[in-house]
Amino acid sequence: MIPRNYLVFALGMAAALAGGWLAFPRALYRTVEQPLQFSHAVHVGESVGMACQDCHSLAEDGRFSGLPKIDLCAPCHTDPMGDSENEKKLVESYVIPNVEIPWLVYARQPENAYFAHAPHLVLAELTCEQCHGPHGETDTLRPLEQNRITGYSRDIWGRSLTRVRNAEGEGMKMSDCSSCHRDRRVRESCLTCHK
Amino acid sequence: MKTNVTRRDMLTLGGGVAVGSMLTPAPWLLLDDLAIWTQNWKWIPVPPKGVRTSQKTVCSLCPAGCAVEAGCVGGIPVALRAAADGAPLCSLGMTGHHLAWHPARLTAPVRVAASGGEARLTAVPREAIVREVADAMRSQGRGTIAVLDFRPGRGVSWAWRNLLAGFEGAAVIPAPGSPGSGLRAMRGFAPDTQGEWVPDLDHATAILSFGAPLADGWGGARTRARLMDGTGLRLIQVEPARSSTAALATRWIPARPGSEGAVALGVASALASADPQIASRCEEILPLLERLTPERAAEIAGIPAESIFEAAQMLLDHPRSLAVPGESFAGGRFDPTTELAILSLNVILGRIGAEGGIVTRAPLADPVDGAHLAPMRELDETPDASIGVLIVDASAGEEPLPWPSVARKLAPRALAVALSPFAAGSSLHAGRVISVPAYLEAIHEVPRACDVAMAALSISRPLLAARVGSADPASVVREIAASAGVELEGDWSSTEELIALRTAQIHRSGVGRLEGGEAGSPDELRDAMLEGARWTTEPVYHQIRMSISTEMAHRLATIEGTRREDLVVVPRTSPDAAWSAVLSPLFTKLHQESGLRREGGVAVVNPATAREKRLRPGQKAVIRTAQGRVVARVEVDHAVMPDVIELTVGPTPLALGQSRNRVISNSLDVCGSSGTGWRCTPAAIEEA
Repeated sequence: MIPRNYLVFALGMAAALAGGWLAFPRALYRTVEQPLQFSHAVHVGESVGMACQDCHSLAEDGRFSGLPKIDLCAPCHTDPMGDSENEKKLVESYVIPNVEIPWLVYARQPENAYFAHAPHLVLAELTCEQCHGPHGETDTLRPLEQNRITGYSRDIWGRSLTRVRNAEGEGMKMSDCSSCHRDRRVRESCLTCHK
Repeated sequence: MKTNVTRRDMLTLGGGVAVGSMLTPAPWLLLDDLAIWTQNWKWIPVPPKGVRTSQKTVCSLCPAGCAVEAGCVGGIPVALRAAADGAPLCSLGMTGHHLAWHPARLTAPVRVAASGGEARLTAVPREAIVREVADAMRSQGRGTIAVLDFRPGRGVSWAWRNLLAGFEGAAVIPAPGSPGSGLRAMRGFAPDTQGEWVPDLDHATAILSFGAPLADGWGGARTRARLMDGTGLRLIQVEPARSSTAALATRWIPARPGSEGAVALGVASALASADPQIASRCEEILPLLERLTPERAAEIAGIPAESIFEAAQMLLDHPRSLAVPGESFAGGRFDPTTELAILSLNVILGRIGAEGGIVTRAPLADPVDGAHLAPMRELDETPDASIGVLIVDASAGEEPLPWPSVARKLAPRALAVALSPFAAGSSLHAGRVISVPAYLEAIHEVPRACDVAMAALSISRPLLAARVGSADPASVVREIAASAGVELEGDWSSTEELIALRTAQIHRSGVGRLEGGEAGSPDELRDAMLEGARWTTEPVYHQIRMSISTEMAHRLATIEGTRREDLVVVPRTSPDAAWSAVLSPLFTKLHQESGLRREGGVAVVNPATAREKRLRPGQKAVIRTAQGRVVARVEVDHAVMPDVIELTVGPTPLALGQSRNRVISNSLDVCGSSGTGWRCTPAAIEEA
């Protein structure tokens, strides 16, 4: 018969393992829906035929312009083009009153980190998908999983909590930047990103 | 079945939970998230984001005056880098834009009270401090008046001299350890010479350097480049530690600290024996040189006599050679007798005024011609307990200086006032501090120090608005003058106006040239300099015959009796950590994490010394000198010679915490006991 002490110890361990692997991630991240659903697939697909940089273009100084302003949506969406509820919401809540859409950004970095898209896209010739995944093929926007402690997206840490088998482009922590630079034998220094 | 839950069960369950937790991501993720959470506290300044613009200025953190290109967002500098045609920035220069937000930043004048080794600050109106200084100056009841100027040669430096001109015995004391300050000892040979004595390193083909950190920027970028290049320049470095300069030198002579004067006289002895013409130039010290042979000097210094003969032969073989005493970044100048011995080598070789020797350069034009000026006086020439009113001008930066060497010059009840942007360094020792703008917040002049032959002046233009509560140093001079009833010369009221007057004088004189720009009028000259252009002059070559006087011979004779100390402490810091009382937290983080440079409070000893004193790496040790005691962490390194403790006084990982706690003393304060420098101090060390 297994000694009682062993059983109690195993019980405690099992509870911690269940809590740490199952309950903790649910407690750590809260799910926040995007203000509006948007289909990248429709816009990038054959019917519209747009490219990533048509909306997410580089600024003149090499900085990324980031998210498109409502001015960019307005020319095509002054009136609903279809019967989608989301398009109706876009026109009525944002285009007509000329209000910017408060998108939730999956890749937002801490304030002390500067990231320039230009050298990565132009010099290193990386594609958007290598860091952001196949975002352009999605029909809906997934909810943002926001870390309750830091306020940042789960995409920064990566989907895998252990970070042991992160796929390329998964995770946007400093160690991910460093390992990508190391793999490509690109020089890095603290002051490159931390000004 | 009834089961009793015992205390043992609870502890066992807790143990299981603890072990199980370690096998989940929870504790590790929490650690990471909590660390990130601490970066987002609301009082932590957030750098702006947005369209990036570029602005040019000049780094005023040290006398090198490197051209800087600032990346700005929303008009605020967020990144500094060297301008395209400039020298690479050091780590202090790269992180200089953080200093304006340093936790030790002062935004109001304060009164400082020492309590239990820490400083307590109380805000006071600037007018009250100005009135107190002016009253003390008028009465002169406490002693003489002095200004300790950490960046001499600026327009504000001239204004201080003009202010003190009317007070008997008043003088401006230049920073005792700035690069090239050891060359000021040349005044002993030619007291009436106009201009500043400087080494013409760029045209020298052989240099006998006594501790000059040539690889770290001392002597200018060209000398450093020639040294790195490894061709066309022979360098013999006399230095106790294997510094980066010693590593690049043709020959490194690891002489015992304090024996450099003996080495210089040993070389002189070898020169006099080899060349009768040289012997004829040093008749006054020939008897001394006959006694202090190269062999005897080598014995004092703990080096082979061949090293001394080799140094002498190098000086003989190269017609464009010189010997130069260099300032250590933390240790400052040699004692005056050692400087005299080193500079005497140039005199007996006939290298004074010759190309590649010790030459003079014209001083920078003053803002106002022919004004009455108080004299400049060295700190060690100032009598002890004589200063009644001391103004410490650290407005443009400050360098390591043990406060006891200043404190011994103060009379009882002396009034000390500092002008500084920070509650750190010298300002914590002064009773009152007037807050001034930090780097990039105000216009600054950057005159090149006396370690290069070409005089140079750059202007650092502001990129940030000055904080409310900080006063322009020149306007403080005006306020003190007005309150003390002193009439200042010239029509100016701010640093900017002083600079305008000076650039106009430079333009009028027609001397020198503008590097990186053209100027047809005084305004164009000033505008070009504000855009990063530098005004320079060429050295003056005019060979002068000098001789060693009887008085000098008597002083040099004291070197013969140099006693070998059992153990000495030698302060060290990295060059980029030496120029500011505070450093960017990022800079100290780099020191802490990279291991590239030693942090402050580390005592480095040779393995033989460690064995003898029973010290182990990592343990704490107490270093005792005549000035006091300091606790330091021990490191063991073959690059430090036996019987030497190399005490690092540079940045410490706790710099942020220390500045917040405003700890008054630092490890440098135990250095210096004779009143003539703090480069090498007899010490004892034991396990803490």
